[in-house]
Amino acid sequence: MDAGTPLLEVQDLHVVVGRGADTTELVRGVGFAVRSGEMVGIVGESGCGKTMTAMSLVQLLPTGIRVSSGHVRFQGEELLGAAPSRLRHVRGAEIAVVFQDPMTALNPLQGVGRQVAEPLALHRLARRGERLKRAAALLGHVGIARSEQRLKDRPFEFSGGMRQRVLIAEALSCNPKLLIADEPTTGLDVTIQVQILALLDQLRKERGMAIVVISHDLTLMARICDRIVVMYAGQIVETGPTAEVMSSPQHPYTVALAASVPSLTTQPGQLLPALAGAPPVMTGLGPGCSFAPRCPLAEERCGRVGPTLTPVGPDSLVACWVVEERRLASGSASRR
Amino acid sequence: MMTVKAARDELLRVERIRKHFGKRSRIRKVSRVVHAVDDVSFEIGRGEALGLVGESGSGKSTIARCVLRLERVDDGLIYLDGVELTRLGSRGLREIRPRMQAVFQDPASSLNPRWPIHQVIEEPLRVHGWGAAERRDRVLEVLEEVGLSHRYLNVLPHQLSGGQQQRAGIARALVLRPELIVADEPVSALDVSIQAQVLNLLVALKKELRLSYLFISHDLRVTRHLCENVAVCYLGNIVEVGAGDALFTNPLHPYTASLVSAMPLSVEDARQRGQTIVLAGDPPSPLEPPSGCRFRTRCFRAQTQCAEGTPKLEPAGAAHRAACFFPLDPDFLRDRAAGSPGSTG
Amino acid sequence: MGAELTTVDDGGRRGPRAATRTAWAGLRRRPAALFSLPILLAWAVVIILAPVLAPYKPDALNIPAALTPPCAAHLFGTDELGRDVLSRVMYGGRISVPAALAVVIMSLVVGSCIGLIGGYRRGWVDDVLMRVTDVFMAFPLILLAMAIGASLGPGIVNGIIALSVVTWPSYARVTRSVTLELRNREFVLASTVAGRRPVSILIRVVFPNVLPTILVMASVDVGRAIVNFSVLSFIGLAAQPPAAEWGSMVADGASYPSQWWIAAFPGLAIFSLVIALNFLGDWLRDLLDPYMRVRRVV
Repeated sequence: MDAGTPLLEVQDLHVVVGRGADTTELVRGVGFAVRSGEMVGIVGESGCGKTMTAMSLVQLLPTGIRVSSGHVRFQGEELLGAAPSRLRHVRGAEIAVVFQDPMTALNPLQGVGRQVAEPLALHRLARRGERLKRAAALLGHVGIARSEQRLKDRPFEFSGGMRQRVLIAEALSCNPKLLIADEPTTGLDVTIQVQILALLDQLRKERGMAIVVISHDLTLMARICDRIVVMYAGQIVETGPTAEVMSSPQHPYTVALAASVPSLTTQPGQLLPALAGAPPVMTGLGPGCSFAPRCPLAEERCGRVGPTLTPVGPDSLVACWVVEERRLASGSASRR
Repeated sequence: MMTVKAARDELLRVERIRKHFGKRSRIRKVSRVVHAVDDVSFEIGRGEALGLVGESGSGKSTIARCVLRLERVDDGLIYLDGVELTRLGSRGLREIRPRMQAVFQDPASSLNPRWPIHQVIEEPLRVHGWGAAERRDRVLEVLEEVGLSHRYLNVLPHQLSGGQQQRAGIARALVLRPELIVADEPVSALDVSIQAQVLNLLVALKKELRLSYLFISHDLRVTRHLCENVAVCYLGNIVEVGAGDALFTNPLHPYTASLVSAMPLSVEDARQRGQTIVLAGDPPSPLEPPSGCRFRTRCFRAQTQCAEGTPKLEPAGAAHRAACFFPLDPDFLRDRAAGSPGSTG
Repeated sequence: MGAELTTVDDGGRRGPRAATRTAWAGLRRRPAALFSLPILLAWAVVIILAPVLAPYKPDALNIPAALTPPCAAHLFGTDELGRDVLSRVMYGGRISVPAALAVVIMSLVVGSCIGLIGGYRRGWVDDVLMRVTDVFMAFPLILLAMAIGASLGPGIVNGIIALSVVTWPSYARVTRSVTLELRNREFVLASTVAGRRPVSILIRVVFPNVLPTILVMASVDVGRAIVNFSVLSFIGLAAQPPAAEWGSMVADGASYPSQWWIAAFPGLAIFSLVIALNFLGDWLRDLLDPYMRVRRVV
């Protein structure tokens, strides 16, 4: 693999649920790349398909949901359709996942030391005596005080933020090249969220690890991610470097998302520019742009044909007819 | 019934309430008492909104429940339009309930899953003996106010989306024409784009119906948007109170500053505001709050004095006050953003 | 800015027909339930119409034809007194099933009252009620039923009473545990805030949400009560001869091991009903549960 190849490449991913006539597409042609050491944030509201996208990267989809087509290449190797033994090796050792709810992601009956050490055992990366020592070191590294004494403690003896740290420690145990974090801070107190994000950032810089973060919180992503991918109704609607997407969002959905959170420019007591309607149900989608029903810029064409992702900058893409037209009209090659 | 005349047009007054859960064990030295709320006081005027902001364990939800008389306070007084609530018997309570209603956090579980929407909304009317025709009229009226279509009168809650469910919950809260609405994290469980819709609804209703809100939230930005005044809670105490903007631009209490830096007011802010304040350690348990100032174990400005005395909200009577022996300078956050050496956690 | 408040009509999540669709979907998912419904229906018909359907009277003695194996004239054979087993099985349902239903209904009513009160009030009321429940729960079923049967005397009604006394504790426990969970749910708090009185809250808000859980319990319990009632009759405490009751019939048949049909057919009757009810319980649980759950696929 040469220096230019991204660590992870996703192409035209389609994830469906149901069989035969009853099939519904949950992820409809998603593609993006992640380079080594990069932090990419996938942002969207419930039902947009971001979690399904992440879970399909490591083939951890729930029963009844499957990848119907597409490519997932990790270090040049195709993961979809790979042998189960190969996948098992990749999971944990090369790609690790931090799940959303620490309470259910940890075994309530086992000590945290054993759970953190489990990937080491599964991938035979350390001998028995070594493993617990490494677990203690990892726990200490993620900020849990007195980790050697706490190896036998059960998850319920830790607070929410600390449980999340335990999950992160477990994910790191085999030194993965890629970490997928599914809503790692949702449900945690705000000040703890900040701690966890700082931890993730620090770990990434130390280990050169790439991280894919899934979240519904745009402001959170803005803090730490290098690039942002915005999803809506199973598709990517905008992607680009964080600074650009945040300072001048192009897609009307991204604009609306950013505007929905009260900010310095909103007067207290005034109405926010809220989107009408709700995120669509995936079973009833028509041929056109899925955002069109709620879009303030929607035109006639938007209802008929769905837009494709087109470049609006050196590293940015937007899927919107109106944006595309405006760019062509102004003839400019850059965002601003 | 005790009545007290108030100075300005005050609707709700809470005086030094305390609520502890659990029993103090005589046998063991360690007490299993949760100090949920300690010495909390505030007022809300008619047509005004006060936000209670804090994280888990801050006591904000307990305060809301005490005001609604869903819990009995151990100490302190609560006045709604001059009527003292804590000693009220069940009859008096029933009479006064129509004047203060509630909106809850989880839209799905705040509506009875077995009742169709019209029944959920009209329940308060039934309980207070309204006739069928009057109920129908009022329900239709209130649906209009919250922007929910008549189509949904006969559906069950789980058939509605989260935003619609929350609107139904708001409709139910409005149906008796209350003067005070206690809203416990009403938008936290909603998607961001729906949050904005519901927030707008709350803003509009406040203006049209001259409602007062006691608005509980963990999100300082949302609270500032809706509420004239914001009180920051930490471990059962109010540590700072003032106008929303003041708290954002010139927080006095170190905890407020860390909350503000965790929730920047704009996405550019998020990248430009320099170093976020990262607090050390976990919040202490409400079972054993630290002595003296409860925030001192995580505070980046703590000194020995902070362990000895408990700071009070000062300056007394001012619009913007904080309970801290070493309040921050007005330019604290701006200096941090500029990169000057402020202490971090 | 110029944002406007718009009337929300975003289509909701599902249509009003969703409830019936769920019921049918549930049946498809659990084919066993599909097979149990006809059985239960058939039994209902048989029980109600036994006097019309049964070929013979259940008490009709016919000594010369005693102990005949199943044949054309007697599809299930005859017992030691020449009575037609098929007719007795049909009539037997008229005792066993209503008795079992009575037991379950009484237990449900008494148990849920106790569970509701204890679970909602908590404090010393709850402690006292639960200790009482524990006491009743501690007794082995048959022993207690026998003791009650012995003191009250044998008979169907006394058998029903005895079984109810032993069955209500589990309803109390389950009701209490569901009540404990529900009392802090926001919609219950909302009713309090609306001004509803506690008794009204228990009956109209909490109980309807407890009912699905105990209904599922009850559907399986009917099967169990049939068996228990048969056991009581077997040892002579409930139905008395010459009453055609499945348990007593099995008891009779025990004395005639080579005439297998005397015990086998009533036994099969019990078996088929209990299995059908168990599967029904599974389906009921599936049907009533998703009502309260909101699943999100992200």
